[in-house]
Amino acid sequence: MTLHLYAVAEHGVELPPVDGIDGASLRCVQVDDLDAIVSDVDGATSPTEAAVLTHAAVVDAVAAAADAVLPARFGSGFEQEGAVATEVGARRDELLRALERVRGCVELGVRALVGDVAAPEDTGATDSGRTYMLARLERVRAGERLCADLDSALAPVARAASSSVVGSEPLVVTGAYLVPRGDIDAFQERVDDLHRERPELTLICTGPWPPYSFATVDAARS
Amino acid sequence: MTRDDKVLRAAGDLARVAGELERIGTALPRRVDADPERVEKGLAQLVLTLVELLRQLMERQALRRMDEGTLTDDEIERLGETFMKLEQRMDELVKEFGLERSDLNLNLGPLGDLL
Amino acid sequence: MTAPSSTPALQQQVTLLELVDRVLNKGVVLTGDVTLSVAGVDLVYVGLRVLLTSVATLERLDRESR
Repeated sequence: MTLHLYAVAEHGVELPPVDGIDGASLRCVQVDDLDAIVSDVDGATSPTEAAVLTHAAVVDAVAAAADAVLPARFGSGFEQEGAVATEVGARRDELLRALERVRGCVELGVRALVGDVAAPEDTGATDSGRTYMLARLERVRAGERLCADLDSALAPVARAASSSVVGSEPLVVTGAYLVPRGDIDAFQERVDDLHRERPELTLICTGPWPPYSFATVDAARS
Repeated sequence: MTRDDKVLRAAGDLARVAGELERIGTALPRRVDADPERVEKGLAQLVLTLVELLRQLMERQALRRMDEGTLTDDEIERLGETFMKLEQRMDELVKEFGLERSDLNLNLGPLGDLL
Repeated sequence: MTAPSSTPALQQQVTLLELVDRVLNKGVVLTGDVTLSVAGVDLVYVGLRVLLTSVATLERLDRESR
């Protein structure tokens, strides 16, 4: 038996009336002023659709009743509660900082897709290595420009923004935005504005999500 | 399990976005069962995924140096040819194992964050 | 701003893809030890020593299957 971790929240977080993976009950492992929400699982958790959906449902339910939650990535397994306590205790300060950062916020995601750019003409066999590199570099730069465009349009209505290129043929850029609950509509309006300004972009906006993309302690630095 | 629809806005070809998201690996890792022939395929999938990760890391590093101007023209040419050949070889290897390029989008957990 | 090409089924598909991406690729990782079972093989991450660990597991699986 191992423990599967769903999220970390402040101590006293309300456990939602839902079951964990494979119908196991949720429980809290308290570490000082933090609670780790876990359930027992049989061995390593396999990322089946059912398990992933259950994990997401638990995180959603916790987030609905709490002001600040840090979703855990799927796959964190611990031998026993002591191991959970050790890890949470070791990262206490960073976790508390991350909780403060996400307090009162949801995550809104934006994906932008640009159609295929025409490949550069082949300038001859001797130049093909260089041509390849130049084309790849131009792709990287186009991605960086698109990320910058998304952020300049949307970051002003977000507490934090994190965008990156996730695909290059065609170019797909993802932006994750930490938005206070009260500003969700303002964010949507900005997305609509962006669509009007850049009709050639395929844009999708999804959410509200619990702040998965802002739960990492690395993100706490930005 | 019912699931709330989380799409708030959609402009353009949503089917295309969905297709691309699947292709670039946001889909669930494919399960390969324990049948002997498929175990080999599953291991090939794993190994090739790691090789592809390394290839992308190296290419990214090279592009960064090219952008910084710390590569000679000759180095750029040779690196470009090498990456093109690696790309081709990867296509061949993938086919040999009866896989598709999108099969190389196994979720690698924290290792995948290197990219 | 919702395009006519968007259908409930497609939106559900995108929702699922986005959800899976978040659950599997984002979220806090408290420890370097994350175990995922992929392609029937357990990948155990000990920091970034994943390659050594998974090769060791493969060798053990190979021995056990003989």
